Order: sequence, then C-alpha cells, then structure tokens
Amino acid sequence: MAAGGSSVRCFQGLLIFGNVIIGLCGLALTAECIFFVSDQQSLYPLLEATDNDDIYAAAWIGIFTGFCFFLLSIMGIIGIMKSNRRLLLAYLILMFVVYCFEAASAITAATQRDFFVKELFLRQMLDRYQNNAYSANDDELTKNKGVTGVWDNLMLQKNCCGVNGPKDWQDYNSTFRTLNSDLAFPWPTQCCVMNPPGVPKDLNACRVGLQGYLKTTGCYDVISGFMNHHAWGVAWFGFAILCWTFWVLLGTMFYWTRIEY
Amino acid sequence: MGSWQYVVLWAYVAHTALVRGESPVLPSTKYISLNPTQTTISLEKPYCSSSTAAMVYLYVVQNGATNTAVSDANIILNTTFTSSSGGKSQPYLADKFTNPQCVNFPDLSTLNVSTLVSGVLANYIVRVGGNVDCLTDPNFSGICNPPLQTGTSYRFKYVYANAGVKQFETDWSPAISTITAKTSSTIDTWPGRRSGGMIVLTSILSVLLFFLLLGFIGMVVASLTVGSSSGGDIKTYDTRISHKAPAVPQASADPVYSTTHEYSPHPEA
Repeated sequence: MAAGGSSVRCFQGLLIFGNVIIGLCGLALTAECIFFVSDQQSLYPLLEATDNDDIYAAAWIGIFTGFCFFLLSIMGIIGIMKSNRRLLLAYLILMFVVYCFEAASAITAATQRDFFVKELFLRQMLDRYQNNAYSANDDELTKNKGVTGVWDNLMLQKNCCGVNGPKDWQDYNSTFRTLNSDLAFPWPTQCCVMNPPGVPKDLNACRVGLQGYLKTTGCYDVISGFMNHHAWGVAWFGFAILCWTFWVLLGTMFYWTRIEY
Repeated sequence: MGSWQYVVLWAYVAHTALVRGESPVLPSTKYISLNPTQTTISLEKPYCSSSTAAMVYLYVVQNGATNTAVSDANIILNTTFTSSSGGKSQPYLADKFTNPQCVNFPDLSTLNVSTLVSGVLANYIVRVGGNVDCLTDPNFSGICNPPLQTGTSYRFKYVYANAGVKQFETDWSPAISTITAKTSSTIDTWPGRRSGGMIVLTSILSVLLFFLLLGFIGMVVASLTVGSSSGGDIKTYDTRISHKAPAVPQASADPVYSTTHEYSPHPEA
C-alpha cells in the first residue's frame, strides 16, 4: 500500500508480535508434551492394557505441531518483514495444515480423558493383576505383567490399596482371589503398611484389617490426578494456542491480499 | 402384682439383657474395619463375662438351621465342621480358649506398637475361618476351623465349660454374613455423558477451523478476482524510446541503427 505507511507498519508489527507469541508457545507445547510422553509416573501400561492410549498419541502429535509452530512462526516473521507473497502463501498453507493437526490433538486429549472412570481401572485391576495365565496371544501376557507391575509400584510407593480401597478385593472376585486364599491374602501384601526395608509391619494384623497396619485409601486419586493433568495440559494449552493462532492467521491472510506485486 | 413381683420381673429382664449382651459381637470398627471378609469373621473374645468357668467354646451355626443344640445333658458336643456340613445341619465347634475373665483385658492403646500387636490381637479377637489346612491335612489334630462360605449368614455362641461340662451359654448372636463376591464382569465401564469442557473445546475448535477455511478460500478468490480485472492496483507504464544515432562522418562502414520500442508491463495472471 502506498498510502498509510505508518498503519501498515503498525499492522506488520502486530503480526510479527503474534508470530513471536506463536513461536514461543509452540516451544512450550513441545516441552510440555515431551514431559508427558516421558511418563514420569509409569502409568502407561494401565492405558496400554485398556487399548485406549490416545492421550499419549495426542501428546506425540503435540510435540511435532509445537515445533512446527515455532519454525513456521520464524518463516512468518521473515515473510511479513519482506512482504513476500510467495513466502507468506507457503506460510499460510503450512500453518493451516499444522493447525488442523493441533486441533485434532487437543480434541483427542479432551475426549479420551472422559473414558478414564473408576470402573475402568477397577475391572482392569481385578482381571489382570497377577494374571499369569498362559495364552496363545503374547500381547495379553505383556499387558498383564505391565498392569501387575504398575499396581505393585503404586501400592508400595503411593501408600494406597485398590481403586477405592482394600474393600475392592473383597467385594469382587478377581484373578488374585483365585490364586490366593482369602484367609492368608484377603488383599495383596502390598496393601500392608510397610517398614522401610519393604517388610509389612505386622502381617497378621494386616490380614485381620487392623487400623494402622493396612492402607485404607484407594489409588484412584493418584491415577486420575495424573491423567487429568496430562489430558488438560495437552487439550487446553493447545486450545489456547489455536485461539491465538486463528487471529494471527486471519490477519496474515488480510495482509497477503493487500500486498502489491 | 405386688412390688416384689416387679423386682423379680426386673431381675429377670436385667438378667436376660445381660446374657443377651454377652453374645458374640464383632470387634469395634474403630480398630478392625473390614470385617467380615469373604470367608472369615473375626469376633471379640468375651471379657468380664458373668461366668467363671475355665474354658470358652465357640460354636458356629448357619442362620436358619433347625438344630441349634450345643450340649447334650450339659456335656458339650464336639461336632466338627465336616460332620455338620459347615454348620448347615447343626452347630459345630470352631475354637476353644481359656476364659479371659477380666484379668487379661487387652490394652487396645498398644495396638499401634508393632512389637506388641500380635499378643494384644490374639487376646482381643478370635478369627472364625482361620485355618485353611485342616480339611485337607490328614495328620491334623485339634479343632478344625476352616474358612466359611461366601455370602452366608452365621450365628455364634460362647459356651463356658469346666472339663467339658457346660456351666453357662450365651445367646445366639444376631446373624452375621460373610461378603458375597460379585464377578468383575458386572462392573460397567461406560463413562456416561461427556464432560462439559470437552464439548466446549471441540465445538469452538471446529468453528475456528471452519472460519479459517472460509478465510483461506476468500483469500484465494480475492486474489484471483483482483488479478483478472483490468483495473486494480496494478500500475501500467507506457514508454516509448526511440534511438537515433547522431550523424557521424562515414569514415568507417558503420551501419546506422534506428529503433522504436514500446514497453508496457502486462499483469501476471
């Protein structure tokens, strides 16, 4: 535009600022998604066993879209400063593609989080914990081992027992019950309050259910807390980035139509 | 009725109340909360009972059994678990221990001391269903106390005896049932309705994507229409340059050039 040079400059400045924010947020999204994918709590086998690990897929997509946002924002800044039509057209097309992927990631994370209810983990725990049955499908055995390992770690390190509490092991029949007598193991030994070397304080008192020798809290809070942070971090931060990017892209489209040849 | 009859009536009621108060009870849930389990029931040992007999015998019968006799002419019966079909046909003897009276009352405040807890617990409760081997072990001697059935109601009675001769028996306790275990397939894992946040997020992102697509199409259309119109922002220049070589002495046979050029930039498609 020949006229209104200062307003053009102002608009350019706004778009560059928008792209800077997109670049920084993209890097932050990448870092956050790497943090989730690295699975500090080692709860991934629980999701793998439900055949529903889509929130990890959403985090993986988030890693790549975050980095793409960063690179494309640099391209956008250069294109705006040079007012280069070709560069800006490429920027817009690529940004649109990355936008679609990031929207998919955010929607997936938010949607799949709804599936993680208590009953899902309870049923999985009852069916798979200590299930060493040989099956022709090697996949099932791996899942069972994964679930058993996760629950053992959870019960020992987070001082909890079962999903709702030790009563889960009494209210329902389970693979654990078929392998262990109710007298000696009304609940797994990991549910007993432990002395530091990993030995129960008093095994008999734990079996009887004496207060102070049996962990009475359920593990669901630990599991759901982690899942919530993971899903909401990916979904809502992605949503915020996309809302901002929407306006920057609209502005850039308008700018592109106004560039001279 | 005369006043002494009221006294007798009151004494009788008090006595029966006292006796009923001595029937076996579950331990306080303050200490032992998950009781009964699928196959065991823990009961409080009878402290400070009115009887001073040497031994206490614990009888178990299923709720609804017709034969509830625990003694035959004051001689206590030694019915076993197997002979009574697990308490279905008649009561069976599950355990016996010395009458704790009031002397050995367990100090429940020491329950949290892990070195003392075994002793205190052994004095505090008796566990029905506490021996899983006695049914299968041929060499087992002693009173067999095998696990109870799941989802069944049982009643309990303490009988105080000296050398097998019954001195006193408590009432049958109210029915206490073991836990009925449900199968894991009854658990419904359906999450129910969608959360509000997910609906908001999905709908807003879909709308934004739609508008972006509209903007994209509009941008492409706008650039095409601007390009095809003859006017627009494109400036065109008309230039005309003509060269006429200055007249020079025809010393050499140089050719004379005369050219006319017209420049007009044509818009890119």
